[in-house]
Amino acid sequence: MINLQNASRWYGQVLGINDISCAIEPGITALLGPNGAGKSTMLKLVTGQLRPTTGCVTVFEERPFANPRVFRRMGYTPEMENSYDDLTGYEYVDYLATLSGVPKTQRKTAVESAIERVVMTANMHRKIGGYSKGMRQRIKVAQAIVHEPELLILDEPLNGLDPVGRHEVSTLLHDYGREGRTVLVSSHILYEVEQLTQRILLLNHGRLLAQGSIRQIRDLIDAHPHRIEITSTDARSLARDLMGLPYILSARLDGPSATKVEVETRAPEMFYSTLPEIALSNGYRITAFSSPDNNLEAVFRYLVTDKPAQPKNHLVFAPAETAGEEEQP
Amino acid sequence: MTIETPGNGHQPIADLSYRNYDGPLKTRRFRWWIVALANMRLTIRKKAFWIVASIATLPYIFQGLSLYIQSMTENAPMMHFNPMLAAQTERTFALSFFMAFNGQMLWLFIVALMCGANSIAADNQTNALLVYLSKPVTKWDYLIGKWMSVFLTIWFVALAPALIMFIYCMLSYSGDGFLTKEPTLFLRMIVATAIPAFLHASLLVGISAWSKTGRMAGAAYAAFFFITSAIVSVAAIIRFGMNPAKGTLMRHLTVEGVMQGLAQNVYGVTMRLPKFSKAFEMKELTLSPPNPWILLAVFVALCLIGIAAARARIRAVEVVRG
Amino acid sequence: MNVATINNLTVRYGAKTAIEDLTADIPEGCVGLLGPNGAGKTTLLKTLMGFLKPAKGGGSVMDCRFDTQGLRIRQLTGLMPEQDCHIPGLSAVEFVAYAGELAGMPREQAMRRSHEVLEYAGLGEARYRPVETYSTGMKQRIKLAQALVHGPKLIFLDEPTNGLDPDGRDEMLALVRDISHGKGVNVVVSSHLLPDIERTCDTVIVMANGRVVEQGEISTLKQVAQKQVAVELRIASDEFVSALEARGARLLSAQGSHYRFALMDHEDDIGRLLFETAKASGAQIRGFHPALRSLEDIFLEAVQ
Repeated sequence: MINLQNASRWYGQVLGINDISCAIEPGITALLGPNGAGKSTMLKLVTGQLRPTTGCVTVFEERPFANPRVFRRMGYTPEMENSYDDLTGYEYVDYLATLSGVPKTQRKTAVESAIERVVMTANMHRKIGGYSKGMRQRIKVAQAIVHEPELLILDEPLNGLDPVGRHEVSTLLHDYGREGRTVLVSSHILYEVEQLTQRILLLNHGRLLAQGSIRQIRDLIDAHPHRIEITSTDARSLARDLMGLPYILSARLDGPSATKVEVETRAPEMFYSTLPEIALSNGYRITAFSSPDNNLEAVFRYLVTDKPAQPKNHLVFAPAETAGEEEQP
Repeated sequence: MTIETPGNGHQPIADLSYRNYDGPLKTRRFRWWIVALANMRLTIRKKAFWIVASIATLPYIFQGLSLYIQSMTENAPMMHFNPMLAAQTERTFALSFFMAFNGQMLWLFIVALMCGANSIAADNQTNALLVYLSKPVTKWDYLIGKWMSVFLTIWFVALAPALIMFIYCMLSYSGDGFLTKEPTLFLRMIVATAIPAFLHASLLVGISAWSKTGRMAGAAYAAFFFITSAIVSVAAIIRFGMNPAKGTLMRHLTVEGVMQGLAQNVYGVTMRLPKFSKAFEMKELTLSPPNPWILLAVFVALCLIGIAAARARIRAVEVVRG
Repeated sequence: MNVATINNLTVRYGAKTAIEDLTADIPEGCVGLLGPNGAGKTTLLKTLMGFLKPAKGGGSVMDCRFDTQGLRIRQLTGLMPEQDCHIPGLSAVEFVAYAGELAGMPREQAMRRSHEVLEYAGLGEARYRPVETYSTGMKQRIKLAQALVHGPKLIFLDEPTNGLDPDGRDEMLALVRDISHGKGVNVVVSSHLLPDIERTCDTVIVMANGRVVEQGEISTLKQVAQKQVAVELRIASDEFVSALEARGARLLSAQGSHYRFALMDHEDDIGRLLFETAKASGAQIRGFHPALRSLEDIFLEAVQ
């Protein structure tokens, strides 16, 4: 649906994005990166507000810049906070439905169903000036979906929403993704992103750092072996046994009382297969275990703060299904 | 760096993390002064301010020079140089001060715009009021502080050159009876220079509070200033024709006019222009000070409106419309 | 020891009642204030700082009544507002020093303390630049600094991680945690982001519709009545579920490969149970831990 090929954009001297190539498929993809990484630039390129300085950007196989054919099939919630304070919610969505090309006969139903999907029906005839932040956020999402676009682009959609609102909008996005539409979400709140999707696009300093599923990316971050923390009453003995395994790089106890042991390994799959055996055969009592850095936040931190390095494919211990073919920058 | 802790001996590594502040916290009385001082500091930093302030001293320098030249050539009437001075028979010095004061009007207006337009408008733009009101500062502290900063700045620009001229006169013309003939001049000078400061500060603070940016406030005030002038001039011409001797009170019903009229009353001078235009069949144009009470009423009204407007507009608590 | 007590507070905005008959105690330490939009959180904060006059009821903050001694309260507390705010035309260090002066500090102390607090908030050389040039993250830190400069023992933070990128959030939350644990400053954090609250606060107050619907220590609220365990498998496996249920467990929820089970009370060695079941059903466990109610559950239950 969205395709970037060697797209770059700069503003005078200042770099927006640098030589980014990627393709965004149907489903939900998250666009991540620290402030200043180039996310807004990329979104502006995709939504046709800017043209790339070099390279090319296509949406639905057309260039999106000032292209109404593309706009008609696309919904966009920008991050900015300004709004039409004097219009009611209904009028605002109605107005934008007209702009998006919803035919007059269907407009009323489209507007009402869009507003209902964001749970704003009770407030739709109040002026936007009187809305709280969460309500404004929701009405923005309503205007983006009113024309049932195939492509939905959301910049910080969950900002300002309470958990109830967040749940509603997330469900909406999940449904959209499942229906085969393309959803591109840009957000800072990593734990929410993780619940939405496994597919990410990570930018930093205008470059594309990583693209693919969180799990695969995590496996390929060689510099940070997986850490797994095990809580057990027999932590010390467990640690000793684990150190005997060839793919365990280190085992660390949390203190002299040894209630937890944290191991590092580059072959987590093998570890997960072996741990039950060790525990059962030796009768170790394990009360919990988890991998504290097997999540999006860790991936983000490792990729963004580390110096750029060649990610090696650690084939030595990689079990069969860890794919290494994901596109790397 | 070592820190002694009781009973523990030396701690070689200092704890540089957050420390509490248990020092003195002054009570309320001086809050508005802090606001005023901060605003004035911002104005003082601008180069443009000093340039305009310097230009604003020129009228006084000019008057001083006039006096000097006249004193050099005491016996020859220098009528063509400064006929008004020559025609003045009493309160000559007061007249000089008043004329210098008049000459400053435009520059005081510009200084007012510089320090006043931004005073509250810039805060509106950056939501600064949230910061102010989350400290032990009341809305009045804030308003008085802002007003004071504008007032004091304008008063300074008006008064400083006047003081210098006063000292010059005192040094040079005591012999001519500077201090003895016009004993109240010092007080009159202080009051007169405060008048534009007072009025500009009140009006600007009111307009600034209702504006979103300093530029808007400045433009609004300038518009008000000039439009009232235009309206009044036209009205006066309609009513009184082109004769400058008539309709003096009406001509003074502008912002600038109110200030000049009141100052003229304070200085207590009558302007006389001999050999005035034949067209008006006058040998001499005499402009006495216009009715002070009406002017005073207008002055007070404008000031109160300005301050009240500002007070009404200052709110840090957004009202969630139900 | 409570830093604030509120009794039967009612606050109205014109015709709308924002807070209705609210009674709560704010304990020491770090307290989270949660609630849906429109629950009255910001209104409560403003009332506690003496901005809004209650229609009924009252209370005190730091031993000063907030309906009458608002000014004194504002000298003893600090507020980090949600919106962007700063004094125009000043650099960070001047701004924070000015804030200190407004709170009553003498000028030199204010300047010295401004540097100290900005250092603590992580603003290095940038502190000499005008605030208008700052990024969101820096502006948030300055807001925190200006709330702390006069050494208040209680600060109110309204959405402290608003607009921050993940690194910035990390650092801000670390700061909040540091300040509230061991430095003697009590903190009230109002936020939508539950993980933020979990990371920094020990107690929560949940508000909805202008009332308090739940309050208490997070650890206590999270306790569940029965033994529950959250399990993550490599891939979703129905065989595992049935095998575990056969051994006396009850499936509470399933989302992809994440499951939640309630176990029999006498279940002693959870690890053994799960590993044996996994072995038998051919599933691979990627993690498990005793499940507590998440803060999200607490919130949703309280609010609905």
